[in-house]
Amino acid sequence: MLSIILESFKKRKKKFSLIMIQFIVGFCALLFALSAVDHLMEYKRSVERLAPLDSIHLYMQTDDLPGPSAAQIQKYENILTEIQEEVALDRLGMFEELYVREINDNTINTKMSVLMMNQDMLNMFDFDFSQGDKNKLIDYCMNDQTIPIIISSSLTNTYEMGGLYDICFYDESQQKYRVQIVGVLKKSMGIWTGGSSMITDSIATGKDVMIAPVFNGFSSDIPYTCNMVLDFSSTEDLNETMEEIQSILAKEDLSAQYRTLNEEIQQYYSRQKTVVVATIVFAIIILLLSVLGCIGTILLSTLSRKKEFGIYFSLGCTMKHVMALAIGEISIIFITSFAVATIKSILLINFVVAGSEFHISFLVVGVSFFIMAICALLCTLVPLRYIGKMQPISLITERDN
Amino acid sequence: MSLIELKNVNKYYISDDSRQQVLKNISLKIESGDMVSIMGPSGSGKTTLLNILGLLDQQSDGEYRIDNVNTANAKENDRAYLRNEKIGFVFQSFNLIKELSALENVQMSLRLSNLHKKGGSKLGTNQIKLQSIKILESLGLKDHMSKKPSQLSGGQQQRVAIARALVNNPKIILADEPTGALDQTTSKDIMKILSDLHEEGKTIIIITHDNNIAKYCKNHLFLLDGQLVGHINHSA
Repeated sequence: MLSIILESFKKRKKKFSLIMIQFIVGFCALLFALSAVDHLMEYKRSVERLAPLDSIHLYMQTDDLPGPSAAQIQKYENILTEIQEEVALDRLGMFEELYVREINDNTINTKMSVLMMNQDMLNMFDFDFSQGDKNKLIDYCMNDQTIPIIISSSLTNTYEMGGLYDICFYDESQQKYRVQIVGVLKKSMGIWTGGSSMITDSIATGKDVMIAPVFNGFSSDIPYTCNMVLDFSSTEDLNETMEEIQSILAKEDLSAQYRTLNEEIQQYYSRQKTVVVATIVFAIIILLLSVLGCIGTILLSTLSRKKEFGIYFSLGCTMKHVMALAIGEISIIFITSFAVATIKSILLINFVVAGSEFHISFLVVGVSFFIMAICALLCTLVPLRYIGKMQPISLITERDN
Repeated sequence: MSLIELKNVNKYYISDDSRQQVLKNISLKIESGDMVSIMGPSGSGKTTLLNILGLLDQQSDGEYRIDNVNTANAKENDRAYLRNEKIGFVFQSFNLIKELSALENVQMSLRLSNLHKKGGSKLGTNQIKLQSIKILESLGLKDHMSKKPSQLSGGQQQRVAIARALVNNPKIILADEPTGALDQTTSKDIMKILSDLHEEGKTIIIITHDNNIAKYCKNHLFLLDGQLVGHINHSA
């Protein structure tokens, strides 16, 4: 039966090609729409892994000149000490982005980003590992000879799990630091790269990045002014606590802006909502049009092929065989369109938006396949109903169309 | 034992509030190797009888045996198998699939026969092709095998239809006005082919209202208003 279905499809591929083009566009739109939703959800998961959703992303506004001095850093240290003494702060996560290079046979290797996180930040951050864990980073003491490091999955081509390497800062200093890779993050894991903008605006996936405990002290005011997350899990009145923090800062002529992680996520959602909803609506409209077009075309094709079905019947087919032929042809239309749409979408994303974090996941392909199966079912039901009602004897006497 | 045997076969068509009887109490026997014409005016029930004989339609009551198989209680699959295996159809309008070439049309009959076969008894692609080419060549269509029906003349299309009917080597050929759409010369050619098949031992049943066509047959059945009103046997 399969060879007969394939042969029949081959003979009518011109007729079916228009429907297939419709569906390819429809499925591409669907894959993009679902990927946009998936991307949004992945983003949310990445942000949620940073810290509890009710923790605060706080960034300070200061009139101090850029280029921090030891005195400035000491000032921030003092402020934070006062905050920790005055309010019920559970955890204070901070990190600094540094640039390093590997020392290897005296050759200068590529500049790499290291996120140097304090203990609280390491504790708060729920890393998603493909290998290893963060325990050695949490247990690290500044006097330890070897610095434990976690690497992003993109660095696994260069560095091996458990491997020892020498690095130095990407400046004139020649001081070597010995690091050991103790963990590898999953590819999908997003990392907050810091900055005063919203956390949701600075989550990166697929970036070459190393994560280390604080091994050299913070060298700039960025961790104090921007890259800070405060966890007030045991605080009952957050507003009151924040007022207290503001008053401590005001004494040093500083002010701070803050949002909970949850608020940042909601703001991010509301900004993305229009684009995502528009894409989904577009995909649904295209798919609906494709399904309606397909039902119409297949019905027309079925009705115009009554005589052909009659011939098959006279040659020894049952009506079940005729139905199988119709179902087979529709299945080929859908499966081929879906396969082409999936390949096209993946290629399009790889070439057009190369380097972006946007991608089509297996989950998206799976959900799209399920929707495709429903569309195929809808397109099959109406023609099958007609074939089921056909009287074989009326088919063979049908006039040619 | 007759190849075809009908006993008290009736056929009714029931519409909303009426019942029309198109075949009335038909009983007949056709022996293997016969060449029979079924004649009668329009509306006499000739085509209905042929459809029942060809298992395209089912009698309302009565008994129909083909090659000693009672078709009354046969399942759809068994009827389809009998159609494929025992019967070859030749229609007035040729009934070729317009998207397929002459060769593919003939091959289709063999490919569909595989639906009723299991495992090793199925015909391979090459075997199907060779068998189809052979039958088309025997009917003088060697140079037309790759042509679509629209590229063939009426006579050539009917030859392809005959080739398709014969490729399965059925015992019975049912021809419904096989020359109805053809000119006189071509009609003679087609009837010559059918006569030759009869000589080779095939059972040929032809529906016609043309005496010139009927004269090729030795047996003649006459239908009028759904009743069998006459039976002439020249071979007797």
